[in-house]
Amino acid sequence: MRLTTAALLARPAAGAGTRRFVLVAGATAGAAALLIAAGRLSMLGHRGPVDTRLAPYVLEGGLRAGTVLGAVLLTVPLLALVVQALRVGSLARDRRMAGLRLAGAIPREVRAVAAVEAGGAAGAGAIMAAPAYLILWVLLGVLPPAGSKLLPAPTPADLLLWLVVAVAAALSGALAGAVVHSRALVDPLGVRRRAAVQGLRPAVLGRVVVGTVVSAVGLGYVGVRNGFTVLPIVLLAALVLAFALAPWLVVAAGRRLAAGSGAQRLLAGRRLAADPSSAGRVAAVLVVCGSALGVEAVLIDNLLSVPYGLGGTLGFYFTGYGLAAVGVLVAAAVAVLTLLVGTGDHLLDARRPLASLAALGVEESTLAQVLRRQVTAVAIPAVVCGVVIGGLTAAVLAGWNDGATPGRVRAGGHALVAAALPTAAAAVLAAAAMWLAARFAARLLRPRLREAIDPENLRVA
Amino acid sequence: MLDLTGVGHAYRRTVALRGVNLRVAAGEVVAVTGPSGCGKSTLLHVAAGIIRPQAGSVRLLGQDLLALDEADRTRLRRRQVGIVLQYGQLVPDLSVVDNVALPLLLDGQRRAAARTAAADWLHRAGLDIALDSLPAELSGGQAQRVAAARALITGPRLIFADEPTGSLDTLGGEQLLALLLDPAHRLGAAVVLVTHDNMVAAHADREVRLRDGAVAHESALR
Repeated sequence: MRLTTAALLARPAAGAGTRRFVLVAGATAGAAALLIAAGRLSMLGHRGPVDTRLAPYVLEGGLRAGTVLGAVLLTVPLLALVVQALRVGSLARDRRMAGLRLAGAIPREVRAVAAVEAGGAAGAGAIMAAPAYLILWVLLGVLPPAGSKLLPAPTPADLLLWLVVAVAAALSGALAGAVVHSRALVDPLGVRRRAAVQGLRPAVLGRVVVGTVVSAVGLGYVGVRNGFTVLPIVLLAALVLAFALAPWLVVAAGRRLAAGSGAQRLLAGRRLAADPSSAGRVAAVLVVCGSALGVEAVLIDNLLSVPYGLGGTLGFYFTGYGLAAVGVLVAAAVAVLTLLVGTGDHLLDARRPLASLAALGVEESTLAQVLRRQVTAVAIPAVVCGVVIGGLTAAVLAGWNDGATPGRVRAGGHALVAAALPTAAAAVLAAAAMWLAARFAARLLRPRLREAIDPENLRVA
Repeated sequence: MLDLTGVGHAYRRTVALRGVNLRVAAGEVVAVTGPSGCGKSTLLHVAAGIIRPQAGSVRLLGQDLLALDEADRTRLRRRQVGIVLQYGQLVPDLSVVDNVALPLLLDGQRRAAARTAAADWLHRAGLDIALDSLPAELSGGQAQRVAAARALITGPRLIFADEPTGSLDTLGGEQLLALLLDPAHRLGAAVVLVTHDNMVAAHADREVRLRDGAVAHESALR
């Protein structure tokens, strides 16, 4: 198959195809801009003079590493959005791919079309990363006052950085497109089945075991040896663990929901249990966001309870925590957007059964409640779980690092008790925020729902 | 052309085919008939190499289909076999002319040449429509004729059609059958028609009637 043929077949179609392209390109642009920023900060001071108007979080070597790590971590929800966006309009696309197979395309060619399609969208996003980075620079490097700037002015070297990131983003997008597509076994008669994502497959089990062991050993090293250099590895392992376990959390939440009384609970629960992978990715991001909030809650509590006070440095700490909180908020917002994209896409795919439900007399408001429950059943447990994990981890590390009473956490658990209140407060706040986000999401999805239950859809095959 | 021996296939507990034998010679038109659920479509899918049967053997154009992998079976279909289904077979976001050109494009032909050939086939199919219209803009009969043009563009030696006239009126059905049977009459291609419509079956040289997944009756019509 010629590349021109692959490009012709990969051309985004109207509707879902265009939405998929825009979402993949937009999320890729955001993630690539953050990676350029992270790269730019990592190279700070290696070549040429350093802008002294920058904030201490990027000027001081130790703190800069944390800022770079934060920027890299912020790409995770955006990458989850890319993966979700690649599945937008999957029903229509599966039909299209089945049409290609019937016309004589071999499976490898169909995968190539999927790769070109995703790679093209990611490539467009990678190109847009340059203006996106400039916007980021204006927001973080121009508008803040001297001493608070987080990004230095762009240099010609950034162009090279952008090229490297752009090529990597386009190639990764193509690979992701092929992988996402390979989960569907398309034959000329249509999609036979989507490969199961659940079950204790060796690969998942391996990720759980490796994630758990590396996280635990790494955290122990951080706590006992004060070895913060291994923190990126610990975070990576925690991410692997979160993404491996999150679909199970979704299945459990779905089953629990379905076991309750009421048609809304049953419909929402069964839907979650039937397709836990997309909600699972969102749950993983929210667990990570919750963990960051939990850590912050305990650290802020520790800061406020220092008996002799921190004087002028309090502002420094609080600004740092504030920036981290903004990062968490952005990540959570992207996660909720991802959930919205997934749910909205499901509405499109399931428009015939939904129209049938409406024809049977199920009211639109009832179906809207189903949507809200779908979101809350994932978002609230995930974020609360994350806050508890983060709070406990911070408390354990704080106890280990407390030189005055070494090992008190293991002996008496005082630090854990002290962390309980801020952790609980953060959990309640996060749960309330997610509840509000779910209401907002359901409201945004209402027009889509109205379209889905249109009686015309009873004629859709 | 086609030789099925002792073919059996089941979907979980539902047995679709039980020891079916079927031979189709060059230039022959065979109608596979029978009531709903008797295994007609499964037989066609097995014969075309879309489904691997669980028992028996299938030789298509001299090749043992069970010995070929998925990609080789698909290539064989693409180059030497034409398939028309009842509906839903066109790629919805490709124009009509690109849909017809698709098998040639997949085989590496240049787009301009493939589109020219496709336009010619659309003309031969009697379609007076804008080449760049989308499948959604066509009537059921027009869409079926586009699908037939796509199935015929490679000059297949064997044509499979599964209820090709199922969604068409009488006149539309007659026109489509004429289009599909023309290669058999002119070029000696074999045609296997799956149908439950006696009027369609009457166009065949031979009728193979299935019941409960097995051949119940076979008769020459000409």
